[in-house]
Amino acid sequence: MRDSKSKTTILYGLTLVITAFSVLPILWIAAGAFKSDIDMMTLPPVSPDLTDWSLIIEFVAEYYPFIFNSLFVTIGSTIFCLLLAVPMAFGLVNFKLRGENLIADWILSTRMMPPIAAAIPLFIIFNGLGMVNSRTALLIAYTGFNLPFAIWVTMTFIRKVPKELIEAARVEGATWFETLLYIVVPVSLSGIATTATFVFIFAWNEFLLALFLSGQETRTLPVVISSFVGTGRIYWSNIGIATLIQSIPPIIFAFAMQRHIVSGMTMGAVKD
Amino acid sequence: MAKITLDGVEKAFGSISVIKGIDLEVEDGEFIVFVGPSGCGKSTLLRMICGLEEVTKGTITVDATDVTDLPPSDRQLAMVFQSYALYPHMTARKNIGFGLRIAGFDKATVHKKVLEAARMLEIEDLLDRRPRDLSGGQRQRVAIGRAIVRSPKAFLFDEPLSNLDAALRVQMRKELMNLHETIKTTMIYVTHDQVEAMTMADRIVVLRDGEIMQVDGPTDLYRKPKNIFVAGFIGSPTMNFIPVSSSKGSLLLNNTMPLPYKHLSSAKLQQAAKLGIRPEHLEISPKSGLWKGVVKMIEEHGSEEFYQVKVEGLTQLLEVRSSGTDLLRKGDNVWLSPQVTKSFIFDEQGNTIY
Repeated sequence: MRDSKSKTTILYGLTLVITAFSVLPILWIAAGAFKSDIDMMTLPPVSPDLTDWSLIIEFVAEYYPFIFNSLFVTIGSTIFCLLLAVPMAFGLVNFKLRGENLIADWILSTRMMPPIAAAIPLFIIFNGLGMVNSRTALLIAYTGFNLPFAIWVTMTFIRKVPKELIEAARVEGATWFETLLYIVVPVSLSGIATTATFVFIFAWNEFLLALFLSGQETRTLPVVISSFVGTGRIYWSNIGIATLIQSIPPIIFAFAMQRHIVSGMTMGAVKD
Repeated sequence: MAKITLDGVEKAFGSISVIKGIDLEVEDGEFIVFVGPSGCGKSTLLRMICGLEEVTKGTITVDATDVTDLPPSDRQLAMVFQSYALYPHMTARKNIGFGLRIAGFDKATVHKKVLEAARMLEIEDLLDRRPRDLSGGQRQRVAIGRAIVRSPKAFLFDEPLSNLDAALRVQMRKELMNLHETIKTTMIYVTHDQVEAMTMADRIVVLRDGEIMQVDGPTDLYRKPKNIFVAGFIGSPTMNFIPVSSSKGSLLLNNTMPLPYKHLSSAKLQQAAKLGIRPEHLEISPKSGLWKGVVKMIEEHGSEEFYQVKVEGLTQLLEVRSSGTDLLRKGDNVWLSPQVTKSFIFDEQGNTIY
């Protein structure tokens, strides 16, 4: 009796410690959204006034163009990526293509490359096109980087669509495109949503390529955050606010897609 | 409505030949059934007619048009799948109307046609349900409705009743036959169940290993099988086969028991290798008959019984059907009398010579 009670206590204690390790830094930074820089540095810590939104409002008023940049590039590349990935995945799954196995392996291999290896070549290419400092460059780069992975994930979901549904649609007179649009996409919507989530979060949080390819006006939020670490001082409060804003879309997405992600994983597991 | 012709149709998967040269003419408005054991190629053949499988060699013609190289969408055929293949994200109404909407019909026409088909199949009340809210039989009706509504040149059924329970299967069989009477369109039906084939078909194509064994009406298949395979496949329970040889104008069953066979010349008798006789053509009696035997096993079907009898002089058990005037028990001594006129003789190659 006693043994298990102390065992549980120790386990709870350990859990609290580990959780604290993970959560406290985030809480501290988030608290910076409500405290001035000086207040963030004082000891003992000043508790944040959660009703005082003045710092946040000031920040957004000044930095909203960069929030817009992030949104533009992220949403844009997600849409482009899906528009390309879904038909490509459908084609790879449903048509016998020569060397299709090679294509599949090649797709996966691009995921094994560290992005920094591509950063300089990409800069040179976009510079040659006169596109450095444009949002479009980043959009294209993100679409390109995400595409292989998006195709890969979408393929696994499209494979789960029963072959007979596609055959039935074809016999009824649907073209391959109509079959994709009216049958395959609706049936594998959970899977596509899962893909969209991954693509979105990657693009939203991406820092390295944004650093290279964006300019003063076209910086995305992660780059802006890094700029708050100045040579003379660190703008902790701004970092806190920006971090808070930066974490909102992934959190929303994850909660919204939770149902889809889980159902997507188990879809087709049991015979209907 | 259309006549369908298969001319020298072959299909190979790589080096494996699955369909070995099929020549067949399906008449306009006919209900024809492809039947055969698993793996005989009946589904593959159906899918080739539909366009879901490519033809390796030969031509397929539908209504005087060569469709061999046409995609399934251009053949104006409708297919009903074994697993129904209903679109899960659409209501029954949308499922049935999908083909029409794709073809560009306006909303009013689609609505009207869907309602007509639904009435014919008695599913009007189910039109706004999703497939997951329908029973197996209802889903099958929606699948059939989806096929009817397009007024195709022919209907192709790929074992549509296999997933239903026995009672529902019998009911759906009758409904399909009624449907055929009503809309009088060519129907090609694939099944492994020879009872289904016998009850529904105008003509039956018996397939084995990708080849046609015989094409005939049900009665002719039963009464005049051309080879030992058809003889054994059609009829339930299966025909009894006894190895024979001939001697002095008589057949020797198992090379020992004589059976006078006046119907064949002795020249023909020389070729005899097997005697086939159906369970229903063996008379069983506890009192008298030609062959003496013992009842080894009984299968009670209510309206009739099937006895497995060990006849003296024969190694195998014979299956005998009886409609129950004398109820016999296991171990009883019985007498069997074959109706020799209804029996068959097969040669070494399996061809029917009588």
